[in-house]
Amino acid sequence: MNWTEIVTLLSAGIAMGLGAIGSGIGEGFAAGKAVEATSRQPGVSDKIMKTMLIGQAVAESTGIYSLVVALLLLFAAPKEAGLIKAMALLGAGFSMGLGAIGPGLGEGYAAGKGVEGIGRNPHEEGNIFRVMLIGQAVSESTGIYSLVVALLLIFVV
Amino acid sequence: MHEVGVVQTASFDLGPLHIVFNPVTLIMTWIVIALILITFVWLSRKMRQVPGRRQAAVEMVMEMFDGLVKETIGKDSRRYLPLILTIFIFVLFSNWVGIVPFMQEPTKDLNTPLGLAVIVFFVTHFSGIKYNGLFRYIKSFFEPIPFLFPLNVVGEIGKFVSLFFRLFGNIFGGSVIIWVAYTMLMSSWWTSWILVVLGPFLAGFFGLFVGLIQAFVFMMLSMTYIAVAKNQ
Amino acid sequence: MANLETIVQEAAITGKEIVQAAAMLGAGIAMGFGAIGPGIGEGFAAGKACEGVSKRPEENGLITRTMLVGQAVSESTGIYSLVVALLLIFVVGK
Repeated sequence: MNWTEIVTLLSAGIAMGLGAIGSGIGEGFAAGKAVEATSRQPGVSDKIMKTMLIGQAVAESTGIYSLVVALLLLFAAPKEAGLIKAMALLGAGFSMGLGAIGPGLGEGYAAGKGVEGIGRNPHEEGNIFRVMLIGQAVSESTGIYSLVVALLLIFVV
Repeated sequence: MHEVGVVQTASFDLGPLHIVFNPVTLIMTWIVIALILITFVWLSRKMRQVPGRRQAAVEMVMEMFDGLVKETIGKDSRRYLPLILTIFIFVLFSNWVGIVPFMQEPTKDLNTPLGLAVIVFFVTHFSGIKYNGLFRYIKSFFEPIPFLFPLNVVGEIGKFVSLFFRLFGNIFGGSVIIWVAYTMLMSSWWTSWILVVLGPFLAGFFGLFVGLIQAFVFMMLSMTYIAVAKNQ
Repeated sequence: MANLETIVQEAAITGKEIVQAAAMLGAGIAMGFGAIGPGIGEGFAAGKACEGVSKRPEENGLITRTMLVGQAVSESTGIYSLVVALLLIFVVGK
């Protein structure tokens, strides 16, 4: 086992380990808010459930990017490379791992607040859902920049 | 397992230009266009004054989209409706075609979302200039203080960079995960049975669900960016 | 595994290569840390917008527009990180 491979394995672990933090906390927040809203308004639990699941699925996307970067590092990255490429691979792991924390937390918060809003005002489900989805999509953009930098570091450098 | 990041390309020379393209994306885009044509010719066949069941369903969906565009864009929303709906339907069909075996999503190639985002970019700024006047629109980039002009320009470009990379990242990410799962589980006979359960789940989640959500998000964001530039 | 000194001697790593390697690692770390703040901040804005719409649904359009403008401003630091990362990769690293 040469040292590029060691760096690659380390980097994949960093990408997935750090990348899971944000999505995990964010989705948990959304689930908590959904439980709260259901206990207040049990009659609209199906609407709450639907919004929670879609909000969580969107909040998970940065976690999925982390998984993709980790898989690419494990299976598609070169096994023999110089110092520069090895450091680029390590940088890719840091970029995606750390970069997934913020958007995961933020999108989960938005999903939670969206669920709370639907619990309070179930008639406005469509409007709240739309605002939640747009807001989450925009919060994800820094996570996407991280993915871009990680892909550049893996494939272009 | 080294072929995951590899893109097949073909190239030809046109005078001084060296043109490189991805033939798979090109063919898949044609297939998507053909699918859209067939579907919508079928849906709009035999239209009557008193709608049948199929026509009533399509009209209901159309009215929903009309209302959505009107609510977001406001004045002259009918002018933007064809563009917005075309973006939605094209992205949706492109994302969904990948669940058919041996087919690839055209949106998996960065160039397809990039092309769509370039269209939205030009429409956004054209509408901004048209509805506010050139001077007032340019002035809006110097607000709240003139010092922030470079930041506003970078922010404006960043909006569109994240618009097309969001679509690309989600679809590409899904296809990488599906590809790795299939390659690893098919490698030995005693793990391949997991695919009976996992395969439909992965295709349903990353293909149908994420495809629908991302098509909707792409449409909503394009529409909102146009609306923000237009109704300043 | 050989120690760092022998690796450096075997590969004949020059000072410039160390700078380039550090630039690559730095690009990743810049974008990674830089994405945390805007992500949380923009998500907070989105959450508050949902709250606002549930309280006053008739101001839906205005709330969405204000949210997008605010998010665009909070995203600017994320874009600086992206610019710095790209500079490190393509200007320092090449």
